[in-house]
Amino acid sequence: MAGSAVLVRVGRWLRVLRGAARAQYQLTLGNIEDLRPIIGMPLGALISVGVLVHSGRSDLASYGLVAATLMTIGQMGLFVASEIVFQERNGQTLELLVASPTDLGLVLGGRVTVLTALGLAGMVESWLLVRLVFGLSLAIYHPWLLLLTLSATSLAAAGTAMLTAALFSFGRQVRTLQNAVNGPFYLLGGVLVPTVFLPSWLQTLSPAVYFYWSANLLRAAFRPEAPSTPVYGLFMIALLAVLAAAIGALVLRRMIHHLRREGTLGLS
Amino acid sequence: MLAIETKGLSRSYASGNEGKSLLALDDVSLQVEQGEVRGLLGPNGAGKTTLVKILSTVLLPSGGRASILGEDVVQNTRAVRSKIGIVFGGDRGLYNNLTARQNLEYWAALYDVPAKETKLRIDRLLARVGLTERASQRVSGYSRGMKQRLHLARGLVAGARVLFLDEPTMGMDPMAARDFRQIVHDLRGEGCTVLLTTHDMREAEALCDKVALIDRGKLLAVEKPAELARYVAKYERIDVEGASETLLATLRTHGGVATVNRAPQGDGHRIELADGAAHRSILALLVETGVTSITTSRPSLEEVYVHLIGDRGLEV
Amino acid sequence: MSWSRVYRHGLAVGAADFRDFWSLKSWLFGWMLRILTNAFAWVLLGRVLGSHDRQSFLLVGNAVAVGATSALWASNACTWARYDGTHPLLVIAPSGLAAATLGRTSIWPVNGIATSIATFLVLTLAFGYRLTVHAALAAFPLVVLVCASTFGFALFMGAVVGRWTRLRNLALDVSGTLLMAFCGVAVPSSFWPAPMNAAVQFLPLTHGLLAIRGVLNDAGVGVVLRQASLEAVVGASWLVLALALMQRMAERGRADGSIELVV
Repeated sequence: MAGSAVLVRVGRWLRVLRGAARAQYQLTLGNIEDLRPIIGMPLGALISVGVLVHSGRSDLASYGLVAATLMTIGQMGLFVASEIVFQERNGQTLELLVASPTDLGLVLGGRVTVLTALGLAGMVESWLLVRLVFGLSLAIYHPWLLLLTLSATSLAAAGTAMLTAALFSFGRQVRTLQNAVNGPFYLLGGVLVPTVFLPSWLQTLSPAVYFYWSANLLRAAFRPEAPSTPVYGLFMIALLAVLAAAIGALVLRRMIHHLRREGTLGLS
Repeated sequence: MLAIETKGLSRSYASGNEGKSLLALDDVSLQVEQGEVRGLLGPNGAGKTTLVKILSTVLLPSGGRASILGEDVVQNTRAVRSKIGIVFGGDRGLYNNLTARQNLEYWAALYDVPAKETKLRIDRLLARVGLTERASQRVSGYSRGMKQRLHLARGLVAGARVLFLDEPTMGMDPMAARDFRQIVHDLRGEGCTVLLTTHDMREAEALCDKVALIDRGKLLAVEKPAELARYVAKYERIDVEGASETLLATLRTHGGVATVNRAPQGDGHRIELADGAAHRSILALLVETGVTSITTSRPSLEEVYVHLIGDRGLEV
Repeated sequence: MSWSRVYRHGLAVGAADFRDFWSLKSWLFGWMLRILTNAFAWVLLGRVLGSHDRQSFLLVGNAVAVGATSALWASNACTWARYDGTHPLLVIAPSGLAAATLGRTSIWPVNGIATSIATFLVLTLAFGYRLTVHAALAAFPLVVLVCASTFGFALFMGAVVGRWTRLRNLALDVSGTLLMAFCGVAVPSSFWPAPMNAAVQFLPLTHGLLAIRGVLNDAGVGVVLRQASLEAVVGASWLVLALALMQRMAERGRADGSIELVV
């Protein structure tokens, strides 16, 4: 009896997630603004790989590829997905969402996951760009590691987006927060330059950023030697994903309660 | 069980830097029966939307209680949400980059409409609101009237038993508004309870079983539209043509007459009564003095509204 | 009709736009934090390569480029009149579009100059880059020149995307990245295939950056002045093209009904 109730509930959650994900996919495909990171960020590989090739270090070209990929996923999470709640407030659909019997956290979770998953296109585009422009065909020595890391990173970006979407829902601070978090996130995460080149006091903060684990694992996937502690790295990405999502869901709940109390769920 | 019940409901907002609070709703007690269409009339800023927001669980009250079909809107929020639907007026509240069908599919998923039923239910709703032909078109290309109909379909997708319509025909052209009202009329026949906020007096008169007048957060009156007009029976009027100046002067001093002015249309005069009981004696006087063109009428709901709330015009 | 008066009023609107985006606090802790951390990453790439020269090249290139890419925001700002609903009003105003648009968008190259100077200062301190007062004073007007010439290019872009405003942000992103990739910011423009190198000679930033590098590396005055002049010509040419295109688009808008009264 209890088991079937659980099944019913899980089934319900899955339906909501699916419905939300599908709607977000439909929304995104029709909105070039949402696709900006996917189109623009991989172009950054031209700059980073250009520097490396110009300096005679084509062997490090994967650094540029990894950076472009992670920034694409990161931008989809931090800029596109994180604005969902704010956009809903603006479009007066947040009130309708709140007035529905469904859990807003589930709806948001389904929607941000689609967006960060779309960010994975950044890897494909960057790889093709590097091939086309520099004639470099970057060999993937550990494809399973690459796939698992990309998947985990996409989920971590989604989890983080749950938190940032809740924090950014107020609007006025959106831009400031987005910009304040964006650059430091990539620097601390060693997205372009491995963190060993950062001052040691900054390096201590890096493991708290999922990019740190993702960047190291992805760079390792392009090196022939066996990667060290990949399972631990993947576990850390997953842990950070779950933590961010859980905190995000909690913050969202508090935020909505606050907005209901203040009467500012809608922006008009 | 009442569909909607409020007891001493109030809501205040902090106002500006002076630390004062603005009372948007002040001790509102309301009862709406199941299957009733209740109108909520009031000027801008009267508290209509605030009331709707509290009842639809989008806003928390500052005091008092409210329930929907026996479920408290604060304590049993989820239960309330599964029973209600909201329909806004205006352009917002829809995903413009999605088609009508995609919008409804999304909300159907969020309201846990079983997957097997979703398509059929959406097809029926689209047919009901007359959007079947345009169901695969993006909402951004819809007219105001079409968007409003889609709003209604969205509000009905989960089979709501209580529907809140917040200025639903705002900005619609008369034909579109008329079609919309017909749909609401049909909903009443199906047992759906509707709380409708509106400025449109004709709409309130045409659709509502009862009308609640609200102003400055307070509930002024709740009556059937015809009964409300009788509230101000003293504002009954008699339109005459061919009355002499002497007669008009006599009427102006009559105890039962409030005003005598030029009629809004034509060459005659309008006598507004101060006391419904004077109706008979004034008619007798008119007939005695040879006036033959006499028309009597009751005030429309609009005139009741203006008299009860005051002719505030653009002032909020 | 006083052109300068219209420009001044446009500038006031632009300043209000800017305040809508940034307060001092958010400019420092949002905008500049993002700019600086990105610039840090690029300069650190030089450290990965183990080359002080590469590091210096990247430092100077990025410090100047952030000014240019900030000035590119003017392209976006060109389209805001369509969102305000003021575009048709400007089209039919006796003063025309140009002066008001120039005024409104001028705040962004100013932001570029401030961004570039601040970045230069922080990076030179952080990485111990040796910058003499003489070189700094000589570089400053060249930074202004780069931001001004990029502004002309940005206005041209703004006139183009005015008809397809949904593409405005994408155009900003892509053009910024391409300028950084090909105009000598991270690698010399000569690194790229000859056709590309030839094409970027007509883009802003290319010559101005060479002039600034020349000043910082004690190249001859003649070299610096030549590059600076080329940058000025490039910028002025884009500005003239932009003004002509703006007018043409306005006329076309009247003809094809694309000027909306209701937003």
